Amino acid sequence: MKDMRERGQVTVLVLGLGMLAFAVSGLAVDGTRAFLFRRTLQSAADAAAIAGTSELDRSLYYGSGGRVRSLDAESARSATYRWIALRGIGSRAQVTVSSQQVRVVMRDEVPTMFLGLVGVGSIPVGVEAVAEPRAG
Amino acid sequence: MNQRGQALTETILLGLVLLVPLIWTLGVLADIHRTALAVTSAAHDASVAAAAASDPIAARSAIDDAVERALDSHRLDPRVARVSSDIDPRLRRGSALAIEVRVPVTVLQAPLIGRVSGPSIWVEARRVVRVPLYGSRG
Repeated sequence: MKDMRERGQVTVLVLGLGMLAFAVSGLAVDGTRAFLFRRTLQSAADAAAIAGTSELDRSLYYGSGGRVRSLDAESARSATYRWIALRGIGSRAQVTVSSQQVRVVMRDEVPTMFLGLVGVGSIPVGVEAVAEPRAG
Repeated sequence: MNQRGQALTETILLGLVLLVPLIWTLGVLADIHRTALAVTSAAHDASVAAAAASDPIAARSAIDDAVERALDSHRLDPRVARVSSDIDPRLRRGSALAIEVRVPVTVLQAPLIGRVSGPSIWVEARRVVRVPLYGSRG
């Protein structure tokens, strides 16, 4: 025989479980969206960094018989930004070029669907790609 | 107030309403993750292979081979994939080479049976690479 004080206890328990289930599925859906976008961003950053490192300082390269691989910084920066634009994502990008390295950092925010209900409007996503000069 | 069977009824009803869709959602999301990894890998491998090809015909062939291998290694059927590419007609050095791989993930899936026909979510990966300025090709 149930005590009167236990009335509705199951309902509260099941509702609590339901809210937990909703939160877990919401986290999974929004997490998946963030994961997919991060993957896209990483792919774009990788391709842009590699494109930038093709811009060797040719006079130095040929003058050294192919031994010295140093980047033409201005051409490398320009090529990297061009390849980021070609991908057409529109995220914030920062390109840092030295004679031996192209570094691309891209950041953006993925709007949430479910987590918005608990005050999380977006998930920040950031990626980094670093590439070194190559000649073949 | 008669509360006999209330817990059982609530558990069955809410279990069906909440837990079944939750498990189904997680299953579909897991499949989306797997497909995302597969198409990313396929687009990457295809772009590397195509950029090293000697001409556009060889590049298209290399793309098809690379996509098939990548999807196959993730246990996905390559025949359902849609592959599109944008290749310079002469595959000039320094030109842009774009590849897009799309694979559908069926939303309706049944335990032990797997994918059932019905609506699909298309998972895609796009990669734009530069044909190398230096090095041998072919």
